[in-house]
Amino acid sequence: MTPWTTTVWMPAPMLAWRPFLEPLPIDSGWLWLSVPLVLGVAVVYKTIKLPQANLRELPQESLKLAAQVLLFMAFAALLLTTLTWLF
Amino acid sequence: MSNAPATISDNVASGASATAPPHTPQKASRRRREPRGPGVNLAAAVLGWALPGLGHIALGHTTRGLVLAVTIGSIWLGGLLIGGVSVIDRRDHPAWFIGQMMVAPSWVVDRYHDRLRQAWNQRVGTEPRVDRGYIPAHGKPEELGTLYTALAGLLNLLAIIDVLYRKPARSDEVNVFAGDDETGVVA
Repeated sequence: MTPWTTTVWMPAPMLAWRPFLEPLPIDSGWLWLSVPLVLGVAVVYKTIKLPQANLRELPQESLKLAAQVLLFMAFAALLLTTLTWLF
Repeated sequence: MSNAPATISDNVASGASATAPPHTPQKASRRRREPRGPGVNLAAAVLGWALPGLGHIALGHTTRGLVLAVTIGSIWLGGLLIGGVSVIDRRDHPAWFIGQMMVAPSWVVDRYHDRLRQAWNQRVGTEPRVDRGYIPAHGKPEELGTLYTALAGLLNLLAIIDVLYRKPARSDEVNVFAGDDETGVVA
């Protein structure tokens, strides 16, 4: 009978990583870290702005605002990339 | 007593109001105190600075306070996870620290980082191979960690300003943080 084993896949630099004492090994894909940041900003803004009666709509309103900010950032990036490519 | 007014016309003649009942001490004690000015929740703001969302919870806005605590706390902790304790550095990055210090635990992390750095500086000349105890962040982890922690501080500043002028959840309940009236009742 084969013994039951588990294999946890982790990138090699992550195995030696000590949280809070060493920086996270993020060489690529760091741009995706802007998504939780924008989501956090949207949640805090809507938590403060929404009146007590509409507080139930907080998840929808926050997601809507975060999506708007991310879409505008993507649009601005596309526009600037096109401009630098043209001129 | 012969000098007490017997009728309404006697009251008017003696200068008392025709409709108002005679003034009694019991009525005076039941009179509602008027607040002296707009309430500024200073103690709640201090609590909100010490721990994000705590000021809102103290004023009775529990849901709002919990959402702020989880969100701002997650952004701040996320920054520390990305860059480590070295991203909070009052000595080398004082401008960023202005934003970071809006979350009070940043002061504790800065002190801890300073201790780690001092310990390393003391050992570096005496031991051949020094374990630094921590690795300072550079490049993208430093940029993102600093940005996350500073943004958490600025968002908490927004929450502090909000709680400073926010009314308690129920105006008729006693608010120990109002400070604009001895009874703490805010109209």
